[in-house]
Amino acid sequence: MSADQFVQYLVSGLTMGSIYALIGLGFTIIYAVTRIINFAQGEFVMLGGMLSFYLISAAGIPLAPALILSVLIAAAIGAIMYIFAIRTARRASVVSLIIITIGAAIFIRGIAGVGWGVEHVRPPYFTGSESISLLGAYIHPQALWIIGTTLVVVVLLHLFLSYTMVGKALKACAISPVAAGMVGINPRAMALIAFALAAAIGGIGGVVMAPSISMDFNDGFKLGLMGFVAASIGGFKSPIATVIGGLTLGIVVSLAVGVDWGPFTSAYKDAIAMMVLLLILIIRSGRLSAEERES
Amino acid sequence: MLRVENASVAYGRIMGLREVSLVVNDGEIVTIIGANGAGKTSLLNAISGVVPLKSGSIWLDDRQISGLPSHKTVGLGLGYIPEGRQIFGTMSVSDNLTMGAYSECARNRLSTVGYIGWFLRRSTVQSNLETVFGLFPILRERLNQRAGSLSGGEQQMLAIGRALMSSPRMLLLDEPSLGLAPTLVKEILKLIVRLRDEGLTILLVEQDATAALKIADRGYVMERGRISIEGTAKELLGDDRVRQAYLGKSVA
Repeated sequence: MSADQFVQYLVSGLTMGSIYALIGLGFTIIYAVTRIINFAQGEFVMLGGMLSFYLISAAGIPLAPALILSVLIAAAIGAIMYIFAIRTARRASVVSLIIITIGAAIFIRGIAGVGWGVEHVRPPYFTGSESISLLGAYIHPQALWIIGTTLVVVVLLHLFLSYTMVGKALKACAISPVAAGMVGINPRAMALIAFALAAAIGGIGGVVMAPSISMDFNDGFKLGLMGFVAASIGGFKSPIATVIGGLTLGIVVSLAVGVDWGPFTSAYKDAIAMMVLLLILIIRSGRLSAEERES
Repeated sequence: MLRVENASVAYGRIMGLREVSLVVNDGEIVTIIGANGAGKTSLLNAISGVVPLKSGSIWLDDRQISGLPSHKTVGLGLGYIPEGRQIFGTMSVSDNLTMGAYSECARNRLSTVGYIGWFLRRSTVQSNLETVFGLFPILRERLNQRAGSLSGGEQQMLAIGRALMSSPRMLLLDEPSLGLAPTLVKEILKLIVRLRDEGLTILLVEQDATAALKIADRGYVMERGRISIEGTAKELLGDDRVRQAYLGKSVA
């Protein structure tokens, strides 16, 4: 691999990694507040991407409002999912709730498939498609949008969690829902906010990535899986750890695809991600059970 | 102020509380003593709404509060300092105190979303903060430290301070002296008397029965989920059964 190629793969790794980070953030937020792993997280990404296409092309809404509307609708669907699927099962164990999220994912995917059909869609690029040259690599403007949006989301999320009452209440609830209740925080309201926020961030991911990779109703699962790997690398701990996890995953996959593996082709991209996940889980499982014993 | 009537709590098929009735009047310190597992913590959890009642009722003034979850009872003036303190360990001391005022801010829905600096400048929150610093000057010095890095005594002060941030009328304290050095235990008990003198009503669960009865007006003894003996603190200190079982004194 030449130096130019290396930079090129690095850039595409950062781009994909940003997307994985955005998806992973949703997993981390919901897990922190409710201890639920939300397997419908990828569907919010799919919804964001598909909605933006149909709002722009079918409803003829201008780009910027269409993008915002797509994200808001995804957030609303996240909130609805919490209210009707998770909160109604109030006495269920966390494991049952996780299974419910899988059901919700299949439901959302099914509705999207029936409503939108099976064809791939590709919304327009935000700002043209003239690549910018940097250090011998070509960067597509949409890649800059993806990386920039991730950066903005992470900074805003950090400010929200550190400087607002609701943000701190979310953190308090993540530390202990019982103690949070004792100071007047309603853990269920926090769970609702966590689901809406995670769905909104997932929607943002879908909206910025859809012009680069075309999307269909069935893409949510795969994207969700990548986000889950990103969150796992970060240990489901903090937003920052998740972003680092996402970027690491993106770069590892991208570079691995760039290497000439002989008979193994770049088609094994997803397999590489799963291998990373397996490695992480094997390394982590020892440490996790040690932590559990401590607490 | 607080009235518990025939309250029962069940954990699955195990009864944590069996038809407990008690009264705490305005401005009193009432203590509950009893062995481990007698149901003292269950009683406080039931009052604050952490665990639901199976039967019976709980009244705060003339309002029935049984059935309300804990985040609602805080807003009605019940401050709960749970066993093991339950501070937010990975958050700063300042954030812990801020969260203590959450119910205060939830009264005005808009301020829940609000920017913390603006919220803290509001007069009730600001004066609560000054009260807390007046009682525990050390917390002012530790404001930016992680709560989990404080010593046991400081964490207990923070737990009490956090509860005071909600402008409570009544405090529920669960074993505040647990794990503290004897001098600190005295400090905490003195503080409880001081809080009462400033107008708070106090329900205190304590393992050190002698110390608790010394500052209390009245007391209840719990045994296997029931109240077995009740009386003024003086009566209980003089009661043979209490002396033998809980005060570590043999009866002459």
